[in-house]
Amino acid sequence: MLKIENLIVKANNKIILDKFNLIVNDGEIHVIMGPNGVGKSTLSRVIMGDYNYEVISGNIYFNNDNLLPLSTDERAKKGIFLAMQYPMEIDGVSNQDFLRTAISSINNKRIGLYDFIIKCEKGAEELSMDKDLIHRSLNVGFSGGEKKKNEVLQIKLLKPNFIILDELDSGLDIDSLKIVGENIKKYKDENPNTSILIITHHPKILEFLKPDYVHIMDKGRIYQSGNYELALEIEKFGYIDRKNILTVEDKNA
Amino acid sequence: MHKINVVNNKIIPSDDDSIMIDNDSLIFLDSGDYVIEYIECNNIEINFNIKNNLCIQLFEFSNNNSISLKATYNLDKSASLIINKFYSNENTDETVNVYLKETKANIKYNFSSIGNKNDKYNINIYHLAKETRSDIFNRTVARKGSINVFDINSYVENGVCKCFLNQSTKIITLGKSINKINPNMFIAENSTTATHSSVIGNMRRDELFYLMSRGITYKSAINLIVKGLIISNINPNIEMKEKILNILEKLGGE
Repeated sequence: MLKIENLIVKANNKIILDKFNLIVNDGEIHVIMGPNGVGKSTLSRVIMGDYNYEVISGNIYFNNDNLLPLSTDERAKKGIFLAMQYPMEIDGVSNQDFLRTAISSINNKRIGLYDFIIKCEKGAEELSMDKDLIHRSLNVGFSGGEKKKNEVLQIKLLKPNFIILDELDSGLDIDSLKIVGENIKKYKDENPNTSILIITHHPKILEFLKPDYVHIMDKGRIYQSGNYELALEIEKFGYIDRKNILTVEDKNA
Repeated sequence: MHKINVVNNKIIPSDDDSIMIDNDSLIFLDSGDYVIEYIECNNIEINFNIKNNLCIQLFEFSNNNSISLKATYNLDKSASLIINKFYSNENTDETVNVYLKETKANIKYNFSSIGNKNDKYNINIYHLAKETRSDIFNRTVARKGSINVFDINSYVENGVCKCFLNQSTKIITLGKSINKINPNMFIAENSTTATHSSVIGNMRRDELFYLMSRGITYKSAINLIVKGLIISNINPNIEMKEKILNILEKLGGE
């Protein structure tokens, strides 16, 4: 599904991703962990085509198509969805108008108002969202939890087959995390071929979405990969202590 | 809803007994919703008089005019006026004078416009009595090559107690254009509460990225943001909304 080869990415004259490689197959859940500033969020935005980042070299393939020449909306139409760490607040643009335009754009067909309302209300109910949020300006005045739920509502409505969750768990209280986690799990169960790339600091969300692979990033690339146990180890020891343990073990070996 | 047309610089009389027309003056006799459309006007002076305790919601619409307009709004005791106004003119030279003449008179002025060529607005709000209130919201989309100037002046004399003044003006540019906002508040009374904000800027790229990451094309994303800025400020009825959307549709992707 997604294949990233030797990706080098620059922003503000600084290399952020340095020969980054990753393969995510159909239906797999991958997790990327790592301390702040190692390039995790950059990776998510480069996959989505953020103009703020310059791809120096390397490739990103999605279902064998080269993503790099495509605009952000074209990537979204291929089925990629980025749930953002900080969803944008856009004053004046109603959430309803935004969602309806997005669904119509993705499906290349204007969705009927009745059909849209039914889908929206069902999704909002499953996420325990206040229905009033659908009529408000996009993310304006939403709490951290409401913003993240609105991102998950978009997943339900746009039905992507590759989902990137960029620190979806940040800003969520434990109850909201449970609702969001369960909703994404339900989506994944209903769409087993959907792949998920989770960027997180905390393994709590992984209790809902059991990963196939966990990768640890540092200095713009993956330096270790493992399974769910690796995420639990990170939670226990942290990145720095764990690195020291690894170094001692390496020396002893 | 009561409809008033101003055609060729003249207020067209109607049978509506909730308004009295006296030369250039409109005197509102009943609370309610009113719509005024300026059709083929180029030079007009018009006075709006709102008597004690009336609550008037006025929608003003002007499209494709090259217009010089002087509008005066007189509000008596506890009169309440909400103006929602949309312009997409060739050229506009407008002076708006608001006289909050008696206690607790209040105005909410929501103005949205498309800056096509050369638009100049001079908005003056005179707080002449205590506990009067003015909220001024201007939202403009400046097209490439256009000139948009806002001079907004609010006045409170010493002894006119407990007034509230707010000015908020935002211009989004769709290309190289000349834009100026001059917000002034001349306040000589300590008990006044005043706030203001002025913003001139391009479309935010982060906003465009967010919308496009949901499959919305660049052109549609701009349309959504422009529509949001213009429409959300003025809350038009269905008929007016359709007219405005048709005008906005032509802007997409500039």
